[in-house]
Amino acid sequence: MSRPELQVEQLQAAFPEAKAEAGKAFGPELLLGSVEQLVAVCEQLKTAQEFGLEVLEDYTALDTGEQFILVLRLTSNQIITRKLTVKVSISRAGAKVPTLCPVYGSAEWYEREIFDMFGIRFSGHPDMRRILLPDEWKGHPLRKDYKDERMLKRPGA
Amino acid sequence: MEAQSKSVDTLSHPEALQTDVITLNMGPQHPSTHGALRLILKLDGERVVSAQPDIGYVHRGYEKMAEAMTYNQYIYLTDRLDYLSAIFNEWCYCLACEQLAGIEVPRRAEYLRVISGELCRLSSHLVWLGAMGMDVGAFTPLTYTFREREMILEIFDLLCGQRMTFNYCRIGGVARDLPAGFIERVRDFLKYFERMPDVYDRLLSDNAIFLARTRGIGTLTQELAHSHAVTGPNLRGSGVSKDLRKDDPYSVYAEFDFKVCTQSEGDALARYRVRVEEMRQSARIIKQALDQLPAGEITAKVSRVFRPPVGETYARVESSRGIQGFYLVSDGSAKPARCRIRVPSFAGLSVMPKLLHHVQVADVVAIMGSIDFIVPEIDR
Amino acid sequence: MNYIYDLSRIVQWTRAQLHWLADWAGTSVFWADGLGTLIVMFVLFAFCASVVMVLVYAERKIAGHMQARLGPMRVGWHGVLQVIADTIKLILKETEIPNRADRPLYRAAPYVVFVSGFLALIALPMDKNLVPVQLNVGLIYMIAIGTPGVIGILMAGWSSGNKYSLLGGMRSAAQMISYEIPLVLSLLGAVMLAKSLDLHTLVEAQKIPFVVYQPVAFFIFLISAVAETNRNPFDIPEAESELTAGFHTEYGGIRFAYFFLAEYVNMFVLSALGATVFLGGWQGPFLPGWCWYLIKTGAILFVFIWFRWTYPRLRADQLMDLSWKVLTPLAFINILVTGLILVLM
Repeated sequence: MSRPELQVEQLQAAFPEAKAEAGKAFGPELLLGSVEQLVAVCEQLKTAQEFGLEVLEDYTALDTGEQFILVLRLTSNQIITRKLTVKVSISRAGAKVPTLCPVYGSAEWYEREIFDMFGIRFSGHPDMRRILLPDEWKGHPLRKDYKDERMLKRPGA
Repeated sequence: MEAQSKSVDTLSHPEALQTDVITLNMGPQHPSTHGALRLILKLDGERVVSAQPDIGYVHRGYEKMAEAMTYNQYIYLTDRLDYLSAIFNEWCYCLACEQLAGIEVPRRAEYLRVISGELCRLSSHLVWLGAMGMDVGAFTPLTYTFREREMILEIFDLLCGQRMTFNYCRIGGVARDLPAGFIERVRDFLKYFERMPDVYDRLLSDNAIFLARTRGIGTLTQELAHSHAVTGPNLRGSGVSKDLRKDDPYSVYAEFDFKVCTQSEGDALARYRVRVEEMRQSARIIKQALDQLPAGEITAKVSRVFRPPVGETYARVESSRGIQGFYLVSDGSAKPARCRIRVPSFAGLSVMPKLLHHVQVADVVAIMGSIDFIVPEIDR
Repeated sequence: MNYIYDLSRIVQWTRAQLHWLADWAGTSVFWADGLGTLIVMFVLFAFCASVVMVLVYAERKIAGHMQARLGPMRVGWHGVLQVIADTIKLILKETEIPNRADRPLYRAAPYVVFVSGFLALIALPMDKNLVPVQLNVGLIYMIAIGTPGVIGILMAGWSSGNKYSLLGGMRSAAQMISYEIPLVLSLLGAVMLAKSLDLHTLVEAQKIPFVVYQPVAFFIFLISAVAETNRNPFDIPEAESELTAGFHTEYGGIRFAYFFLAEYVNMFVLSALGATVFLGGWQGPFLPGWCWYLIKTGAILFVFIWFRWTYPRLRADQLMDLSWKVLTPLAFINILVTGLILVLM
């Protein structure tokens, strides 16, 4: 039985090209250098004995204005307190993100939602459509530069 | 046709009958989709060939709205996510805000949150139980469970003047202290409620038809549950003992004695049993919380304009449907830079196509009922 | 004899008056009987409508009290006029036909369903001398005339141009055909005991009600009758939660009212048949015959209603299993055992 909590050193040793930090929010944080590593890293986190993170609890994106950050929350159903945040920055201009669907079943809908809200396309996704908004919707609302003439200005804002 | 000219044993090879597949649109207006959910079913006779959920009918842009509102303004909106267990949404959101700013919540406030939260879990499970009965065609359990739920709603009315969308939690505590007579009222209710799970058991659990309709139906294997990040009672119905209240205790849950209910079968009946047992456990927690209720402040000192330092956090609570999470990013202003809501029903619904593969039409409804999703939460 | 309560006297008196009328007018008795038939039909229809009204009210009240609520309370004393208000509403409603419907079939379906249930009433003996038409094969007539109802339901399901209705219609056809078999087989045991298909003779033969000799048959009959009337736990053709009312999803107004009427008439007919064949029909002490007939029928009807508000719904395949794998073989065994005992005794 491995230790319940993941250690930063352990992560750093397993993924030398990524940067492991002691995160505050949700377990340690693993910052990936490039988005190409994403699938391989997740595969290893899921299957390798010392990690065993078989649940993709949440998968979302963040618009910082300059770039998008993909945020993944991984947990385990066996060692329940174990958790890990994986982050990867991608450029705002049409970066290609490989899909996580083969690794995590929940990624299918999460990725559709990220596409819907941020316009990030996932290559290899089986069903890359909008999920919450209507198909004919223009733009991706959670981008910081999203404009809609029907949006009301809050007084004083 | 070639296949028809040959004599084929159609009993063992039903595909040789060459029947047509019809597409059936279930919803968005349908009694069993529990809200505005559309399910595109492809049917071969009574058998479902494929099922594709279509969501977004009640999408209100919650994550976008958060970016235009101050932290405090947003609390009341969170009630409208999972409106059947609204406390958990507020609680989780406030927890995230508190984590961001490093606020210590007074113990009495934590206890009040636990009491209201567990009452909410009870009422949510009661609604689910009635709806589940409806879905398999039994009308009567609904009226019984709604009778009890009404009592809980009246208790909430006493507590915060609202029956469903409470707006009770505040960043750093709760809105108001217990009103006079509240504790006695809850105790009376618990005393009355003590034997109710057995009454429901007699109405449904031991009924041969109910068993036939739910046993072995919609089996959620552990692999599927892991892969689709299913949480809450659905996961526990598949034999995984995962309950944040026990395993990653937040608030004051570590101070209570309760069991995490699991069933190993993973079918609709197992999920049903887990939820009925959870009602008993919730009642136990409330009883203990009332006994141990400490005196003191009900809210921490928080400035009127809440400006958390730059940073981010991810808070989770165990809602009545599973793990509810709020991911808040602060840029130091009075409004969140990003508010991401992780809802349990989203994952619960995403396994639907797998669960509904090759079942009967009637089972579609039973499985949907047993998964217990709620659409406003999925659509946000 | 208590003349006031003996309804059969009224019938005899009416018949005598009609014959006298024919005599007086110098026409043949044929016309008098024709007029008599019309009157009987009219009276039967009125009887039908009032039975359904009472039944609907009773069902709603019983359901209410079973479900920890009151049921209708607003219209009239304890809601007794609710049914009349509902009827007026249904009659006044606009009748719409969906665009994709097969119009002639769509229009005809409710009446086909209703008429088949209604015609079965004719052969039911309500009292010693109170039977609209005395048939020596009454039982066979009742079973046979009830069967076309399924055609009406299939017509409704098909012609609505709605997939839910189609599924409901198909389910209904499969179900009613399957349950007709155990239903008829269960009645055979009683027929063997009475050695007659005449409902009148069947009742006369029951010095002790046949349910005592034929408990298994009665049990099979009860279950099959619930299934025949498409009621919970066998209401899969309507299946509120899956098919949103099934074959009558698209119906409204007066056409829906006919389906509704048909459901309750069928329920009444089958309960009355059960009361006649198994519970000794009009026979009973103290009270006049038609009272006993109504009491016994009412008892079975109550069981129907009780079922509906207690049980969940079976699935289509489980329903078929129950019919073909349990009830039908059981009914055959019952016939075999009855026959053996009759031969040996």
